[in-house]
Amino acid sequence: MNAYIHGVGMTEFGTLEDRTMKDLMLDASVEAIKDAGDPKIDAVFVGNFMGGSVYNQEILGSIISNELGLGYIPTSKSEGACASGGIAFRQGLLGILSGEYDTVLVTGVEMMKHISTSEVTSAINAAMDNDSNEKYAGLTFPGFFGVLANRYLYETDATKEHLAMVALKNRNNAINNPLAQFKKPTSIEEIMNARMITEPLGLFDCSPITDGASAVVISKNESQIKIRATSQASGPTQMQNSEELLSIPAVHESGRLAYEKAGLGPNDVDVVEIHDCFSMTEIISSEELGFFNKREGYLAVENGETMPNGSKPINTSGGLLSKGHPIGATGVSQIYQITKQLRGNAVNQVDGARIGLAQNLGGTGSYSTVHILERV
Amino acid sequence: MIAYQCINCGFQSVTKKYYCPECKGSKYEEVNVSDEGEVFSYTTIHIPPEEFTKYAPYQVVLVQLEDKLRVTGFMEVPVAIGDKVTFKEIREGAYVFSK
Ligand SMILES: [Zn+2]
Repeated sequence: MNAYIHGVGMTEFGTLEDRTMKDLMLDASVEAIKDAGDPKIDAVFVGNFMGGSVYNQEILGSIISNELGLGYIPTSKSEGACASGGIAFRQGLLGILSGEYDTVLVTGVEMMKHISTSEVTSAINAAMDNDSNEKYAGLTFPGFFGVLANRYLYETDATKEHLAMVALKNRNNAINNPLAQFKKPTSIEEIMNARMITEPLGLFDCSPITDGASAVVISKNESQIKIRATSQASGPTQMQNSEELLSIPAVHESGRLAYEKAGLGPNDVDVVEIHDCFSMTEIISSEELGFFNKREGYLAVENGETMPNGSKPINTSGGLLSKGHPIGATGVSQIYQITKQLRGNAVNQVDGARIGLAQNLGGTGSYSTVHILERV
Repeated sequence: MIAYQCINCGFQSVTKKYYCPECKGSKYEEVNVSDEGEVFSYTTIHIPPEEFTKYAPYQVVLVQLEDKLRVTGFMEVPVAIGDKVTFKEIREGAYVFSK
């Protein structure tokens, strides 16, 4: 059996103080359903990470089905930290591939701006193994990627400026994206001189705190966007257990599985959304997905290969770094961008894009999903 | 420093595990491992979790012990990759190292 994308929707990402989680997820859902031509929806799959802990709101799927008059259909929520959206999309897809549903709605949502940065930091730390000596050592989520980055800079000829180039590229992409959180131009100097969060990562190397929602309608009925592969993998939950620090095994494994299922390789991919929770993560994951050799991803950035007009455009949406990172919505919004690219009407459109790949990461490498889409 | 070693195959871990990732064995014994090692990588944390505010900025280090093990630890003083460090104590669950 095959599955196809029929509709996509996305709210603005940013500080949406006058909006509620409910109206954001309903807005994105309605846009996706309308875009799909108002089909009958058989089930709803929601991606959300901290609605329960910081917004005191669960039963999100049921709220959507009731508010949109979808009937007494089954709904559920997926949680996989920052991969919640990618996992929800995959669960919806598996529901179709199993033959249980014809058409499903997948909606990702997060509200994060109504609480303080330290409350967000501690809520996000739920995505680490907190019953461990690493938590007691004061390791944070960005801290893990700081340790990774220092080692990468040590083992390669990459410098902090290469990290800044990733942040600048994604900002320049976001400037053209009306739905992105950060649309103000910046410079390598401003990025390099920004205050430190967790060395060597500064403010612009870290994805922001964001409100937003995104939605997708998938069906077994044909459309011009075919889903060629879905995959998911897990990885170490503790830094001290990783066999090779400069790898993210979950990304590598989910990529390998997706290529195998699609019968495609990294060279076949025309446009990519990578989970750039930190500038360093985009480089390492671009290596793990086979786009560049190990320890050489920074050279591709330096040579402009990952820009929209480069040989392997990465994060044409602006990425998490500048489009914004409403945790549960992120994975779904990657599918939104890839679908727009394959339809030929995306921001930072890549000429003739036919195969697109979206990779969504959860935790410090605890989860990764990969989806490969094709224009048919 | 104390670590856990698989009785069957000798795999070591700083944390107790239910199953050995190498041989699937489930019996571990406590062994003494070296307190000496070097910094494999580190970060300096400027934006700490609430309970670490009093230490910031502080270092979280990934230490390669002289034995095979790597352990995540805490250090107050600045470090660089390759620095020799020594395990001092476990303080409130954290492995504290010094130069
Ligand atoms: Zn063993």
